Amino acid sequence: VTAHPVQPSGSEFTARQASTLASLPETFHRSTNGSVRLIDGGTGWTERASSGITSGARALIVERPSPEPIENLRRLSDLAREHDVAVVVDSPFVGSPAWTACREGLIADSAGAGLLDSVVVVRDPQDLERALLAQIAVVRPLLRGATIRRLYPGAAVLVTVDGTLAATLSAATSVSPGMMLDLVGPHVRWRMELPDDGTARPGHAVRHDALGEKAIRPIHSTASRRTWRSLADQLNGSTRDTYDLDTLLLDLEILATA
Amino acid sequence: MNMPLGVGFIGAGPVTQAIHLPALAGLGDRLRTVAVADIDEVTAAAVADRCPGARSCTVDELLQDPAVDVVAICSPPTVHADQAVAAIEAGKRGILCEKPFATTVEDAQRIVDAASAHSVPVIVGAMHAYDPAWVQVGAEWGDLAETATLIRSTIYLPSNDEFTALATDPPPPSAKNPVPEQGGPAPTPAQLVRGGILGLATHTVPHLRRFFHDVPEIISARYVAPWGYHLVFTADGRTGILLALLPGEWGPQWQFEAHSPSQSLHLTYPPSYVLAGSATATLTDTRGASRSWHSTVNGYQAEWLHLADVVEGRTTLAHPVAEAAADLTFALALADGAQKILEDRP
Repeated sequence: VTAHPVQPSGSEFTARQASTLASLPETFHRSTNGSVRLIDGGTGWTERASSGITSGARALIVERPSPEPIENLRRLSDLAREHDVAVVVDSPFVGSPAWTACREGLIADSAGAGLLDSVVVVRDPQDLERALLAQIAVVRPLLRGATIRRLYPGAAVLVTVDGTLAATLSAATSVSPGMMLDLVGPHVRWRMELPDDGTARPGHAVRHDALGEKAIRPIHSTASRRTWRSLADQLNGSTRDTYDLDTLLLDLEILATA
Repeated sequence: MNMPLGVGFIGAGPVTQAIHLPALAGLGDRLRTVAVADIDEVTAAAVADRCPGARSCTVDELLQDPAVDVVAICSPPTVHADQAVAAIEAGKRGILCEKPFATTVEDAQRIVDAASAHSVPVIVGAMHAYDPAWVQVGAEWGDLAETATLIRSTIYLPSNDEFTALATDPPPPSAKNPVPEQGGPAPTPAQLVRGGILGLATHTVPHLRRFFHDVPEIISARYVAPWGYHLVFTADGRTGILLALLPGEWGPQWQFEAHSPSQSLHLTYPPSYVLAGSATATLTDTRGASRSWHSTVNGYQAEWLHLADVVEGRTTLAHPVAEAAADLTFALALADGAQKILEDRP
């Protein structure tokens, strides 16, 4: 499969994805006119993605999508279906190998949890909404369907307002980009830390209970590499748990109505 | 070298037994326990027996005892103000009053007024405010207190019994001090959250007040079973998040964080009751460079040493009692706001 970024060369986005592709040389060949298009998820990405779909691409990868109007996303989803184009989302936390490794355990333990506390730190204040969206992608399966509300207009803090799980999702501008999540119940407590510094530095996830602590094995890989491999599986006809447009739409609806 | 200052305890419960006596035992050249008073005379006698040279007595006898230079008030919070004022008026040289040092703003002001009128130093047992790592990082963080936008406290603890058992041997049960019978209606979630803020979040209030100066507005409050709170507030255009849950079957996690565009601060505290040293404070800058602070001295030991220094004229109060009164006002605003939200909830 050939791939190329829909972005001027020299950007941080291009460099990051070029590096990822170079780690998958037998699966993806980078070209100037590849059949997989890379879309930077900055503002207006749905328009760029639409162009990618109609230009004959076989698949799209959308990196770090920022919130776009829900209608735009619905139209994009319909368009992708119409053209039989696979669209996967490269999101820094839900794609993290550490999250993948502990996801089922966290979901199982969420049933007995009373508190969920999640924070994403970004360097650029323009990225706070994008950070909340990326955070919802991870946290949604743990919320047991609770309603989320924004603390007040403009606040980068969301809280649950019903259900038995008291949850906080917050985003802040600071110096160590990444996500921290605590899931706390009287019997089990989880602490997960997912770095977001563009490296393959492993995330940490530790389950604490009466017997002690158990950490997941460190996995030195990036969310982007996992996303590309997922896409390759999908294009080869095998199924894999990918973060796709429909799932992104669910997360965006939660953020938009919060 | 000065003679050690004599300390008299009013209240001989778990905090005195598990926290203060072990802390003072290591500071014998500066402070020594000379008297113990408790509503339960048997417990007072048992606790005094642990301290060489100390005697058990009534509160009045303790206040009249010239060997008592400093009074430690470790009784129930509702009587703190009366006892603190009495100790000040009895001519004691210093007071350490456990937190919360009063239950109303009016009582807090009575203590402030008496301390001012008699020039007696009063410090509140807010041990984290004296924690050496907190003090050191506060001197190094530059403009963090002005630039932080998100400030968070998370306290997840096992049962206190686990730590008191590691810090002291409880005296035998006393017939005069039976376990209180549980009676009356069960507390409401609003009352439980209020109690959680004044009993537990109060540890964090001196930290919060370095970042928040306005009256806090509570935006979200939830009760968390089996006992805890989930609180989000704003003040000064910043957001504060306070979370707690206990008791848990897992190990403790007690943290405080502040995030600004140019720095992040993380403090991890050991649980109360055990002499496990200070917090570990870590300050990280935009280059990703981190500096950390830690001490073998914990906040209780530091506050006792500070009080001894103040009483002996070596230094001035780092946290004047008027500041403690302002801390209480802040804590009450959090508690009142949370209680109102929970009571108004359908």
